Order: sequence, then structure tokens, then C-alpha cells
Amino acid sequence: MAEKPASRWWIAPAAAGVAFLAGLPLLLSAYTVSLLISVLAYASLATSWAFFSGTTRYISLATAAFVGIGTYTVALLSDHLPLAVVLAIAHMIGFVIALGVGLSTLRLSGIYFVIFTFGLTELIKQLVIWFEINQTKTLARYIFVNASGTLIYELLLATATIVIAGVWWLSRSRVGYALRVIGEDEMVARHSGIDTTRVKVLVFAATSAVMSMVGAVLSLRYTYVDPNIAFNSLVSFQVLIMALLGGIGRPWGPALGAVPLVLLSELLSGTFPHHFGIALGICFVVIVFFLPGGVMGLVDRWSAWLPRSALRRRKES
Amino acid sequence: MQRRTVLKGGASLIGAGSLPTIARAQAPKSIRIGYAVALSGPYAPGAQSTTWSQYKLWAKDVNDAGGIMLKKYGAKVPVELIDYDDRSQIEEAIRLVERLILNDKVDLVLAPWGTATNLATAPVFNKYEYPVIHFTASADRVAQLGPRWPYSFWALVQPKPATAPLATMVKKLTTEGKIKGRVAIMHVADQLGVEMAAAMQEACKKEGVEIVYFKSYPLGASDLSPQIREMMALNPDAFFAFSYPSDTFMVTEQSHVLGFSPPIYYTGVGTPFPAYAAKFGAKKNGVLIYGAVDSTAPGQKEYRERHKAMYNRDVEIGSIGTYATMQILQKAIEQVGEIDRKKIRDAIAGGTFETIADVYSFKGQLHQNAWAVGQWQGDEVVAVYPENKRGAKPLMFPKPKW
Amino acid sequence: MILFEVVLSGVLVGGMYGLIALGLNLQYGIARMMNLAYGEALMGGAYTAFWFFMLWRIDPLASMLFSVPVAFCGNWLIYRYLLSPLIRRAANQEILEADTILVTFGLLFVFQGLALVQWGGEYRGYTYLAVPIDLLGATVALNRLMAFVAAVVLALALYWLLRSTRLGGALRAIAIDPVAAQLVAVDVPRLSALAFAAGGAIMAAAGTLVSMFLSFNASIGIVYTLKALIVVIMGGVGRMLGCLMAGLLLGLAEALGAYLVDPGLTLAINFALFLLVLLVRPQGLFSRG
Repeated sequence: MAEKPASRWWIAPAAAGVAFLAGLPLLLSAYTVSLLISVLAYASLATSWAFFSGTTRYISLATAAFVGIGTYTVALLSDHLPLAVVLAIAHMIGFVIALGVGLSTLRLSGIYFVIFTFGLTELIKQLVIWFEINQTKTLARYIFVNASGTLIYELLLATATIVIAGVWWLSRSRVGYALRVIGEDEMVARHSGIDTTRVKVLVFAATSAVMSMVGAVLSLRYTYVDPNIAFNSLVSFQVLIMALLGGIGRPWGPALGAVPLVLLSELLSGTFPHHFGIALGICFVVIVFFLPGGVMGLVDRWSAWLPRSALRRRKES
Repeated sequence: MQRRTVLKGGASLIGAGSLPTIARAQAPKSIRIGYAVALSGPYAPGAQSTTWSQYKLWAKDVNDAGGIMLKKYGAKVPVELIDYDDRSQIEEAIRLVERLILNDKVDLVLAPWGTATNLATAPVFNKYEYPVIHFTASADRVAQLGPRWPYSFWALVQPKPATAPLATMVKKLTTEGKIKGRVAIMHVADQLGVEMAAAMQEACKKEGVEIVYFKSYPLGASDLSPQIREMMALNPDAFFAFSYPSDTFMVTEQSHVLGFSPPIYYTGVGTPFPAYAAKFGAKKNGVLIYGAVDSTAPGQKEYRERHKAMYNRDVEIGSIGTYATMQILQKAIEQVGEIDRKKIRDAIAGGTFETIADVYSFKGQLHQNAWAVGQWQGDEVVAVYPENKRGAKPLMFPKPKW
Repeated sequence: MILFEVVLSGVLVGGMYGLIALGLNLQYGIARMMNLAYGEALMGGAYTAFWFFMLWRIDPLASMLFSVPVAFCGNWLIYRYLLSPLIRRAANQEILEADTILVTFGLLFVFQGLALVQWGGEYRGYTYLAVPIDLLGATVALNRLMAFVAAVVLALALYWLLRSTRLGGALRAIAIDPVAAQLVAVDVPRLSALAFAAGGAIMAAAGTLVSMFLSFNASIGIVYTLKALIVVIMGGVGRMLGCLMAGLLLGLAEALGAYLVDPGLTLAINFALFLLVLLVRPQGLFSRG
């Protein structure tokens, strides 16, 4: 089923959709654009996170580490190099560090891998703090890049498009198949001739590089960065939650978790500013109990009712 | 009520007879003031005790008095607060300030909580030309940001002026032969702690004061006794901890237990908190504090009573400072007499403001000669440095042994 | 002499780390529930001790008579009404894990939000038993010593319970394989609920003890949850003595690092040690897995 070439009828509408999204900042207020910035950033993060962690079952809490690496690259270099070069470097550093991490954590699995990645993020943060204190005698870094909300939006839109399209394409390729087999049973994967190490490490590095990219782009309007902001573990948890909420089995799932959660948070923090935490917490419990399988589960149940998809299913079978 | 407003309006109409009648437009129903601070997440505790509790108290005080007088309409106009939760996240804070300005179209936006959040939102305030008085922000770089952000004002004492008086104090006590002048410095590895310690180190070097111990510890450390023991072996007579609330409490208690009691004992954020006083009782006497307010400033006593009535707890000096920034804003609005943000900005920039905390005047949008050092004297936090300011009390030396 | 005192204070801190991890080890190691709201029990215990002490001058140790049973019941209710329906519903372990993470993450927000609304955001702390004690010629604080003793006693008691009693045997069977345990007539739902509730109760007791020497506020819970996770994973899931040993190791490394290397690096040393242990022994220090 995964290898089966599908019809390409949707490519034209998808391209039109992206073009429409790219033009949106012309119509919307800066506030709406910045709301969409969050949506796109988290959609990219959750999608790339789930492509590795969701399929292989190696749940990573190192998202914040890679986002932070991107942020710090911008903080260190934005005064000296053109923006495009800085972003490319952020992407590369994320990739290289993730390669190292991936290679050294191969022996770990399950919860041990989860907490290892969490500890790793904290270790990186502590080392950056220590370095800054001893080298620069301040923790504050300033980013004065003249990047408008629109520019950041367009950069993130490009990132999100590439990530989602890439993940969609890869998950239908041999790589995606290999990842799924690893997720099912790593031993079986190895026996069936998959170079599990290579696949895991490369995919981990590639998705981590995306996270660094997102961190770098977002930081363009932070003005001020310090290690506690850059390496904020909360981001790791948020991305994990969004992906779980969306459903991690399919390329669209995580993005479908990110969009409603960002919008829901925005709604709640405006409606119940003093009870946001309580309201959000209750929403989580309600979602788990009444929306099993996350947003993708909901989509599945709805699409079962839609005549068109039923038609398509019949055609496919 | 309605009638009184009309009468008052009429009275000032006669007074302002030279104004063109077209200016006598209908007064707005309210002055809409928005803010986005951390109401959940790790910054929420600090933001609650220092920032938004004061915004609400101020709004209540203003509305109890009928509102803010807008000369242009000759009427008092009540304020209406619109609050959002930035969830302790920078990205949210930036967006919510934009939301307040562009969607809610509020008249004014108040500062968020924390150095990082203030610095990150400053470009938004300045892009839309909304005047803002940042209070909970202290960083060396701020002094150079004036020209870049003309609508941002910085009211808190910044690291260099906050530490210079400390080095001078040690120097003076040393030359008077009261102490040997051996300084021990420890600081939390967060932006404020690091910048304060670095500024102190520099100030000591300038004064020729000897530093026998200078080390950091991570945010969230759960034991500082190894460091205290190491310092005790070096026998310092002036101790400075540029600390955050939880470590301020911890280092103080561990000093009590281990018997580390140098005659100069200074701790950072958290020292003037009511919780600190409740925890340490009489042992707080003589401890030096980061920042201060003039406890004799007019109106402060009444403010403390109103605060107690509204929140059923005592205030800390950071809250008083935040409330003072609201008084500055109110006075600037009343001076301008309408909601004209450019004029309000100019009024803040050019004025001198008597508040419940301090007399404020901004140069390069930076509050000049701000209170730098306070001290627990008996059951009260008094302002000690700069010593040439009105309301400054003499230093209590030495700190009584605990 | 200083070195000995430093080692001693490291041991005391280590005991505290072990103490806060024991409850999680019951919840995750035995009842197999990843509870991200675990630290909120500590916050509850700490606030109870604080308010009882401030309002009515009730001894913090006595406040445990209230907070520990409340935490036990609260955690039991959470397990019974929020988590076990998920167990019954889940098609496989992954779905169950995802669901529990989401629900307990939500609970974390709810508890933190309630505490913030109810008690405000200030840092709280009180002074209790902050008196110097002479221990082998070194000075330590009595309140810290007490937390250490509690950690050792609890760890040994749990170890004994799990190793040498029928109940312990049943609990270990659940920890290894709940389905198989069910087959040999172990009442899995009831005992899992018991382990989960006991974990919360232990954390509330830990909160009382920790609040005697560390200040806290409404958002402190998650900090301790994550610390406890590190300790549990390092010691080996389900291993009570391993948990204590891992805590001690971290505490010692922290104190010695602060004294011999640089206090600024203490947390870095801790995390580096943790990562190293995992790389060398991927299933934790004291696990035979």
C-alpha cells in the first residue's frame, strides 16, 4: 500500500493552496500573521518530530536542544553574516550535532532514550551557560535583524511546505517503510536487510536540522536571547503533545494537532487569561476521553461518512 | 455622577475658553489599557506578585477616584484593563502585544514581566509607537538602546549603578579600618545574576577592593553549603550574593545553620519579600538588598494599606516600583489631557515624577539615579544608596551577628 | 575537614533526590503509569505544611497526617477514574502511553493553575528545624538530615516490602507483566491503584520534608517531576535501592563538583554523569535487564 503510486490529482490544488497561503500576509493584520507564524512553526516541528519519533517509537525530548541550537546560531552570527548564510549554518550545525547524538544513543531504547534526550538538552543548556559566563561575562545575546513578521512567515511557510511534502514523499519511499519496520520490531528490520543504524541516524539528523531551522527563523524577532529561553524544555513537551494530539501515524497528523492546539491556546488565553492553565488542562483530559486517536482519529471517522472518500476507497480496492 | 461630570466639563469649558469648540468632543467611555504577562508557566509567580497585581490595584484606585482626568474633554474617564496570558513564552508575548494594538485597538499597552520578555516586545511597542515604561528589566545593554527604541522607558536600576555603591561602601569601611575589605561574591547563573556580578567585579577593581571568592552556581541549585564552607575558610567580611528568590532563601538559611555571618551581608532578588521577613524574623535585621524604594515617599503608607485590603498580603518593593510606573503613566496622560501617544511619550521623557517609590526622571529614557541598595532595618526595608537622595537612611553597620 | 563536610552535604542532598524519586518509581516502575503531574503532590505537601504552620502553628511533621492521606486518596481517584478507563480502552501499550501522557500533562496544568489562583505566585518558605547538628565533627542542618533519614528508611522499607512479602511479590509480578500477573490470580487493577496512590502519598511526604529547607511556589511541581525521572531512570525502573543509590551519586557528584571543579558546573556535571551512566548501562545502574 505504501509503495503503491497514487494518483497526482491533488498536486495542483496543493500548490495553489501554498501560493494562497504565501499571499495571505497581504490581506491579514500583523497579529494574524504572527498567529500563523506559531501555527507554521509548530506544524513544522511536530511533523518532523513525528516522522522520526512517531514511526520508530524513539520518543525524543531533544526538540528544545535543536531549536535552541538554531536560536543560538542566529544570536552568535547574525551580526556578522547575511541572513541566508546564518540560516544555512544553523541547519548544518543542527544536522551535525544530531548525527553525533544519534550515533551515541543507539543502544538506548524506550523510556531510557526519552529521558536521555531530555538530559542532553539540559546538559547543552548548562554548558552554554557556563561558556557564556566565563567567556562573555553575560548571558544576554541580542539579535538585531531587520526581519518583519511577513518575512518570518514566508520562511516558515517554505519550511513547513518542504517538511510536510518531504515527509509525505519519504514515508511512501523505502525510507519510510524501513522506519515503520524499525518501529514494529527492530530485530525483524535488521534481519530483513535494513541498515537500521544508517536509516535511524540519518532521519534523526535530518529532522533535527529542520528543528534548528525553525528555531533560527523564530529567533529573528526575539531581540533578546539567553540559554534559558533558547533551550526551553517546554518546547519539547509541547511538540510531543501536539504530535500525540494530531496522531503520529501519518504525515498530516502532527500538523493537524499543532493547528488546533495553537488556536485553542490563543482562544483560551484571551477568554480565560487568569485560568488558562486550568482550562487547557481540562481540554486535554476531555480530548483524550472524547476524541480517542486524536485529530486524525476524528478525520477518519468523518471521512468514513463522506461519500466521496467512500467512492475513492472503492476505486482503490 | 453623570451630571457632575457634565458640570465639571462646563466649568473647565469656561476656563479653557480659548480652545476651539471642535476640541470639545465627546469624551471616550473609557481608556482601554491592555497588557500581556505570564499568568501561567514558570514566570507566572513573579509576574503575579510584581506586575499584574499592581496593574489591577492601580486601575481600581483610578476608577475609585472617578478615572483619569482628560483635559481635552474636561472629564474624568475610567480605565478598562484587557489582560492576556503570555504563558511565559516570548513568541506569545510578542503576538499578544500585536493583538492588543491591532485587534483590540487599545489606547495603551503596559509592560510585560521579565527582562527577556520586555526586551523582546520592545520592538513591537516602538514599531506602533506605544509608549511603555519597562520595570522588571535590568541589563547593561539597555543603556544603549534609547535611540533605537524612543518609546521605551526603563525604570529599574541597571546592573552598573546597582553595584557601584556596594564597592564604594566596602572601600570606605576598609579605609575607616572597620573591615579588612575581603569580598566574597557568588551569583546565580542567570542573566541578571551574571551581569550584576560582572559589574560588581569591575567596580571592585576600580575601587581597589580585594575579591577573595567569585563563583557562580546554576539556577535551581538545591544546596549551597559547599560554597558557603569554602567562603568561610577564606574569612571574608563582606558577602554579596546576586541571587534569585529560591536561592536567596536557601543561602540565608544555610548561612544561619553554618554560622556564616560577615558584617556585610547582601542578597539579591527575594530579600525584601514579605515571605523572607516571615521566614527569617529578627535575623533579617541588617541584611543588604538589591534595589530599594524611598519608604518615606508621600502616599506609600496609604498604598500599602490599599494593597493589604485588596490582596490580604504585604507588598514587596518590586510591586511598589511597578505601581510607581503606573503613576508616571497616569501623570503623563493627565498632563497631555488626551490619549495622544506621541505626546504622552514626550511628557514621560521630559517630566519629573513624584511617586510612591522614588522621584523619577528619565534621561535617554533611562531612569537616572535610581535606588540601588536597600537594607532591612528592624522590620522595615529602607533605602541606603545612593546616599545623596531624598529619603536615604544611613547604613546600619555592622549587621548584627545571627 | 572541609572535604569531609562537602561530601556529607552531598550525601544529604543525594538522599533528598532519592526521596523525591521513590514515589515515581512506584507509579512508573510498578503501576506502569507515566505521571507528569507527579510533582504536584510534592507541591501539595509543601503548601499544606506551610499553611498549617503559618496559620495555626501546627508542626509540619504533624501536617503529614493530613497531606499524606489526602494525596493517597487523590492519586487513587486519579488512577481509578482517569487512568484505568484508558487502560481498559487502549488497544496497545503505545496508545496507552500517549493517552496517559496527555491526561497527566493536562492534570499538571490544572493543579498548577489551581494553586496559582488559590495561593498566589509568591515564593513560600518557613523556618523549621534549621538548627545545626554536629555529625562526626561536621555541621549539618537538622531538617536536611531528616529528609535524608526518611529517604533511607523509606527506600529500605520499600525494598523489603517488594522482596520479602506476598504483597511485594504480587507488585513485582505486575511490574514485570500485568497480563501474566492477572493469570496467576493477582488483582492487578487494585494493586496497581494501590502502588500509584502510595507513590503520590510518598511524594506528598517528600514535599513536607523538602519544604522545610527549600522554598517553593505554585509552578515548582514539574521541576521535581523531571528531577525524579532522571533519578529513577538512572537507578533502574522499579529498583528502590537503585533509586536511592542514583540519588546519592548525583548528590555527591554535585557537591564534589561544586567544591573541586566549579559550582557553576554542578548541574552540567550531574547531567553528564547521568548521560554517561546511560551510555554505559542502557537500562540504568542497578537493573539486571
